[in-house]
Amino acid sequence: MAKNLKLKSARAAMDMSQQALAEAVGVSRQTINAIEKGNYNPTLNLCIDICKALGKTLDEIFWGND
Amino acid sequence: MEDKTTLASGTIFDEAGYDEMQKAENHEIGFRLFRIMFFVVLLFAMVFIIVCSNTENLAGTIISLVLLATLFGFYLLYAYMTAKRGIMNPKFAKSWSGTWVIIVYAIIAFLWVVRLIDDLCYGKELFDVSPSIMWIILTVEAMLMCLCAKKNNKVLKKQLEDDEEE
Repeated sequence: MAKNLKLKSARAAMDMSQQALAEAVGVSRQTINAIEKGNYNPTLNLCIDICKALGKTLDEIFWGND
Repeated sequence: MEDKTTLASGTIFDEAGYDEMQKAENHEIGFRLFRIMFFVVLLFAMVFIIVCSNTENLAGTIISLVLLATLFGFYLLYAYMTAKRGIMNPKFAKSWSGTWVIIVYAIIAFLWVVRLIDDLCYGKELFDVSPSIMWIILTVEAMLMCLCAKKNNKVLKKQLEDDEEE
């Protein structure tokens, strides 16, 4: 699975740590880390929550061309 | 969808043809039942050992000790596999990863081994010493559990280290 660099960039643009994002969406920092490294496929609900927390759309973070 | 032949093929545990939702639901059910089954079988195994010891039943003693060792084998395998991925229960991993915990269990195991050797030297039968063997199995298992907890914390720490400067 490829790394999710768009998620990492979006998080960095908001000056948000992995821990802060994890707390915002109700998961562990380990899960956010695993998603960014491409080691875990989040559920659709979690994708939506992450997008809301970062103020982005699903296309901008989780799919669409790199 | 995968269609590999496994030992479980054709049984209720066969996941061939399952989609992701079905697998996820199935795994959740399996985990919950594994958890309950572990504690129930552990209780029965320990009671069985004591009863066989008191009734001087050699065959029952051997079977019950093998059952206990096998049960803990699977328990440790579960602990190791979750530790390898860094997904052991965090509170459990924290409380079991202290070095002093291993030392305490090592001392307890040593004392039970000394008692076992002493009993055997006095010519006691297997069913007489089976409670000692049971406690040795339990304490060795606890020591290995501590090592798994330490591994879990190490893996988790490595996972969470930032690869690059942000």
